[in-house]
Amino acid sequence: MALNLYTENIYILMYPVNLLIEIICLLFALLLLRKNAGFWRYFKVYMFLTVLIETTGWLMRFHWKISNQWLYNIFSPVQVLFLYWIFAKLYPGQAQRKRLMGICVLVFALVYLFECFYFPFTLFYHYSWIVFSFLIIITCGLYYFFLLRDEPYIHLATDPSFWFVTGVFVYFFCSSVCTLFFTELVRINIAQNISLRYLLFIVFNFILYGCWSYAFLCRYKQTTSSS
Amino acid sequence: MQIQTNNLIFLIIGITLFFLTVAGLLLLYIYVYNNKKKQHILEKQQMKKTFETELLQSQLEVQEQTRLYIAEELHDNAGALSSLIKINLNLLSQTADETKKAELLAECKQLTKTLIADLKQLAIGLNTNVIKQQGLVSALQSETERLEKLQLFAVRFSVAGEERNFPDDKQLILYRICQELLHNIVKHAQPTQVDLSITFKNDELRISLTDDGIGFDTGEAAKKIEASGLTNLHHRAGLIGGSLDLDSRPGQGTSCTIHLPYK
Repeated sequence: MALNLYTENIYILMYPVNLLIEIICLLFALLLLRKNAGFWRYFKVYMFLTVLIETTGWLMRFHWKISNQWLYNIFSPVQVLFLYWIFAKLYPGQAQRKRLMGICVLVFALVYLFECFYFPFTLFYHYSWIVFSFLIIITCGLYYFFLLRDEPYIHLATDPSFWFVTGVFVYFFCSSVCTLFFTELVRINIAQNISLRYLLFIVFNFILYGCWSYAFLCRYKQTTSSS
Repeated sequence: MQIQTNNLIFLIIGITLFFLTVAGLLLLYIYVYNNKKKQHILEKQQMKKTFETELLQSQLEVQEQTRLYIAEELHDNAGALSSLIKINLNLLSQTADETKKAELLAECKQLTKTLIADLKQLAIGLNTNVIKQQGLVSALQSETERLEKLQLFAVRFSVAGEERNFPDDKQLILYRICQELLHNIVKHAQPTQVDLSITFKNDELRISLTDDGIGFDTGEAAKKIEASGLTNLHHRAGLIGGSLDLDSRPGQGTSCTIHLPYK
C-alpha cells in the first residue's frame, strides 16, 4: 500500500540518484587513476561518457519529454566494446582467452545489426542487450574459474580486477530479474505508477559503481606502492 | 487488482533478493576457495623448502661420506703403496748389491706407476664433472673397471634398453648411491663375483647390484639401521623420486635394486 505514495516527481529524483552514484564513481576515477594506472586510466573517459549519456537521457525524458532510447542504442556498443576490452586486458599474454572475448563482441554485433535492420532505431535494442547480459555473466564466470584454477594466488580484497568483475557480475546477474520480468514491471508502472525497475537499478548501480570505485582505490594503492 | 500488483512487486523484490543472495554466496565460495588455494600454495612452498633442505642435507651427507671414502682409499691403497715405496727406498739405500738395487728400483717404479694410476682413478671417480660429461652409465662402468683392477673379486657390468638422460643432480645422487654400495661390498661382503646391471625399462631405470658374498641379516641390520647408513641410501633414493630394495641373507649374498621412474 505504501508503495502507492510514489509519484512521477519521485522518478525524476530517482534518476539523479543513479546519476549521483555515477558522478561519485567518475570522481573516484579522476582522483585515483593516474597516468601510471595502465589501461585503468581509460575508465575516466568511459565514466565521463556514462555520466554524459545518463544526464542527457534524464533531461530528454523528464525535461524535454522526448524518447531517449536511441541514445542508449548508440551507447550500448560503446559499453560492450569497453567492457570486453577491459576483460581482454585482464588476461595479458592469453591469446585464446582474448579470442573468446572477441567472439562475444562478434555475437553481440550480429544481434545488434539484426535489430538495426528489423527494428526502428528509436526503440531500445532489447535483444542485443539480453544477449550481451548473458555473455557478460558467462565471461565473469569464466574469469572466476580462471582465477581459482590458475596458479598464482591473488589477494582478492585488494585486487582491482576482481572488484571490477564482481561489480559487472552482480549488476548483470541481478538485473536479469528486470529483463525476465520486463512486461510485469511495465504493468506495475502503468497500474500503480511505481517504477520498480528504476528503484532496483539504483541498488544495482550502487553495487556496480561501488565495486568499481573500490577497484580504482585498489589500483591507486597498487600504483602508489609500486612507484 | 491492487493486491495482485502488490504481490507482483513483492515477488519481483523477492526474486531480486534471491539473485543477490546467490551472487553473494558465489562470491563467498570464491573467497573461501581462494583462501584454500593460498593455503595450498603455502603448503607447497613449505614442502619445496623442506625438500630443498633435505636435499642439501643429503648432499652434505654425501660430501661427508665422500671424505671418508677418500680417507679410506688413501689409507688402504695410496698409503699402503707409499709405505711399500718407502720400504723399498730404505732397502735401496742400505743395500750394496747392484742387481738387488736394480730390482728394488724397478719395483719402486712399478709401485709408483700403480700409485699414480690409483690416484688418477680415484680422482676420476670423485670428479662430479666427469660424471656429468660421461653420463651415469659410463661413470659406473669406469668405477667397476677400477674395482676389477683391485683383483678382489670379478665384476660383471651390463646395460640393457635404450639409454635415457637424467638431470645432473639425479645422475650424481644415483652414482654416489652405487659408489657407496660398491664400497660396502669391498669393505664387508667378501664376494667372488659382483654383478652390476643397468636396465632402461619403459617406465623406469633399474640398477641392480648383486654379490655372492657373506650377506647379512636384514632384520638385524634394520635394528641398527641408523648406524649402518642404509637409511641414508633409502632416503637419497627417495629424494630423487626413486626407491631402493635390499635383499640379503647370511651366507647367500646381497641383492640391491634401485628403481627410478622417468616421471
